[in-house]
Amino acid sequence: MTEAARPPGAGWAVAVTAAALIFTSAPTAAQVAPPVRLETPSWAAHLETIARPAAPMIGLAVALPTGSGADPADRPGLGRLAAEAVVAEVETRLGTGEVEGRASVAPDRTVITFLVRPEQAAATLATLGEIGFGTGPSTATVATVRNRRAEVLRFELDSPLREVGVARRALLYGSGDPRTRPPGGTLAVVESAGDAEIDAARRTLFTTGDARVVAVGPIESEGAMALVAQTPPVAPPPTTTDTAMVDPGVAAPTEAALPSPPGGTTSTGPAWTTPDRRMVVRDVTNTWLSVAFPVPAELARVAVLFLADRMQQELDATPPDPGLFNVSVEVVEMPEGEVLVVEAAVLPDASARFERRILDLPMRLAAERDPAFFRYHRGRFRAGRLVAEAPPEQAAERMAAELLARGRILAFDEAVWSLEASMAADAAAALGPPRILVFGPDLAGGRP
Amino acid sequence: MVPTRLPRLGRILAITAFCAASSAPLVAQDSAPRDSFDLLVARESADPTGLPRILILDAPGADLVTLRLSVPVDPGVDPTTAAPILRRLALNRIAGTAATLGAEVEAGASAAALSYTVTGALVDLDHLAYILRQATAMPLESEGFAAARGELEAGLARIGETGEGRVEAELRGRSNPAEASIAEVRERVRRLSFQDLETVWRTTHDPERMTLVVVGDVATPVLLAALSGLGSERRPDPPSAPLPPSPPVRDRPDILRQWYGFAWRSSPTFDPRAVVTAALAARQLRDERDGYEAYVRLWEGRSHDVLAVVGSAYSRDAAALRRRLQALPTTLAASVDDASVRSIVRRLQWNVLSQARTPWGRANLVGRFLETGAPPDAARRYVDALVDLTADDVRAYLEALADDDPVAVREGV
Repeated sequence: MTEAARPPGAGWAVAVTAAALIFTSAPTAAQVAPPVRLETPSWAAHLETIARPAAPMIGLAVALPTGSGADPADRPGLGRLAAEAVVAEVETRLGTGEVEGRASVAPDRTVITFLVRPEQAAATLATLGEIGFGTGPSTATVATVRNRRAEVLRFELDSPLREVGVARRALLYGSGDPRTRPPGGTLAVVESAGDAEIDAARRTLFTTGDARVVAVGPIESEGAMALVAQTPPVAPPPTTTDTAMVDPGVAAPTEAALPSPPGGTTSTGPAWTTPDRRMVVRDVTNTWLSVAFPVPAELARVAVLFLADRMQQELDATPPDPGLFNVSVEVVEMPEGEVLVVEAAVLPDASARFERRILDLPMRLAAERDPAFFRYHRGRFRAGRLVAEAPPEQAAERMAAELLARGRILAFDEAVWSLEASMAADAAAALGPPRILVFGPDLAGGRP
Repeated sequence: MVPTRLPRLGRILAITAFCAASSAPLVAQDSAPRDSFDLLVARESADPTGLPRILILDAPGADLVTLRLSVPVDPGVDPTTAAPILRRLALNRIAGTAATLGAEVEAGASAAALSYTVTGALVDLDHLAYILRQATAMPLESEGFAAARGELEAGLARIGETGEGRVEAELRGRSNPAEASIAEVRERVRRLSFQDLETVWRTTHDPERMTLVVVGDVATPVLLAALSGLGSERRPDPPSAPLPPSPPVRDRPDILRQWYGFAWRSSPTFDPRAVVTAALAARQLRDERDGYEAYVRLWEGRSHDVLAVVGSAYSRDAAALRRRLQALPTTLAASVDDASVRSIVRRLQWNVLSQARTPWGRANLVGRFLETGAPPDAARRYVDALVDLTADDVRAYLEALADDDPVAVREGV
């Protein structure tokens, strides 16, 4: 008997030669339909098309520079209601089995994403223009969406996660900032939301000339790598002031947003320069940790994304930490600057240990400079991103948000191959002073 | 049963006939570009000795590649016992390797085959093929055989603890003579030895019987080079102590409502009329919700589909539920029209496109047809047949079902 698993690459040359002899000329597979041509809608600032000839559907994403931070004072959630109603109306107008959409409303931006049949892509954009930037959804659609949202909020009522979310956003934006309020709003607001105020929220979100659109799929493109933006990024929108949902235990940010340079990122960053640690004590069974590191603006984006991936790998290792329920690491683009955020749910008695582990990680990764080890992780990072963005709508959503925030879309493949071990290690070393949130029971009597 | 009236007979028969055709023509050479569904047409390579049948779904310029390898399960092999354990052991073997590459792996089982799907970066092709070699290698007892057998047994016990699970299992067993009852399956699993598993592996995991679907921009010689060593043997474990007996399982669940199930052994596998009928029935039952809850199942067998409806109600509504479910083919036949068929077909087309938008979804979609020996354009032809369906086609199908006596199961107080 022989060992089944031979090392990758063994017998390569011999087999290639044999294969060349074995294969006959195979018939050509049927060609795909001609690519769709899309024009920049009149309501959009820019349309970027990314060709994927072998995709049977098109992912469309529309990024808008206004989010839940622009909801009226004391009325959080109206923007999300409006965005979801617009999406639902577009789906209804185009019919079952033609398009599916979703609205993602963040504190300072909104991304509407559609998955569409290729032949419906232009109609989807036109209908979105008509509904979102024009007449608005029907009263019936608004009522349906309002009821659906109320059901969700009723289910979430009394969940500690709602308060955790507010505290986490306050960590990034500062207490008192309207962006800390729940983007989905509250049950009281949603249940009482009138058609007129929802429509006013829609007009605030859907401002003609601000939208960045990205289409990914079987479409005509100037060239897949011609991804450098032609438009400057959008400055952070004005926000209302509302402290109704803000956790008073979290400090305000030490630096305000900086003006954005034309054609570059929205901020010179970093988002803050002094560390902070806050504890919100609640009688709950989990502890939720958030550790946010400000990212210097001069760091290459791909290096920051790689760093986030490495941190995720290290913190979510196999075998799993018995005290850890879940952990995620993501790069958040705020107008004030880019931030690398680690969020974890842990057993309360594992909280201090895990917090230390997170805080020590950047310096540990800053020492990782072995080229072979780095190349292995770079390959895994690249493959993981390719898999994650295989659905066209996922790729479109990420790209549209990037186009809005940074004025350009990262040419990922070029960037990742030019990434070197020293760049990644330097990025880890350059992370700024963290802000820490510990939300849970106080087992240590207030000591860190 | 065979439908008695079949408008557009040629199209429908084409769908069913190709499943048995092993020497069907390759991709139609005259197919002009039409629509997105052409992406479901594979390109068949020559048949290299000692390797699987290889079909390629081109994805020009793609950085990702998906390899889906299916291993046919012989009619003589009970797919409910050995196959899930082989699948579990293979996943145990490959999941860690895949994670180190940033690749994704799946393992599936249909009535006809086991399948292993791996998706990763094109530059890692050789490593991805290595994962497939690991997946199809001879299992070892030390890899978790006892745990996998226990997991399967526990799963079967769970099914038997609910009214829903008991009715479904009974319907499946009685509508398909090849399928055993849930109690029999549990007994077989309990008795399954590692030697039995090894025997099943030896009779099924022959590379020449496998089918490989590739989605990506892959040069075929490179692909062939990566594929040698599929289905290899390994040094067996030393003999181990016998496994402890499983704890007894309570055989009678607490069921509060009356459950009814009816199943019709409907048509050859992959009949689009069955899918449309199931969707129409589900829509109708969902819209009614009149004192009971009910749902529809479409089970693909090795050679036939089974259409089943299962529902439950408290005793007050139980009789109405039973009549409603049993008469479903008749009431559906009376109400079906072209508009409702068109609407369902459009939704099903969406599901196909939506699944095919990722390389692994495209591989699984097309691979399900190809693992039965169908020609490379089987999935495309299935969609064509779906689009051509009319209300008359579906009505004829429903009338044929109504003429047949369904398998009926009752469970409850």
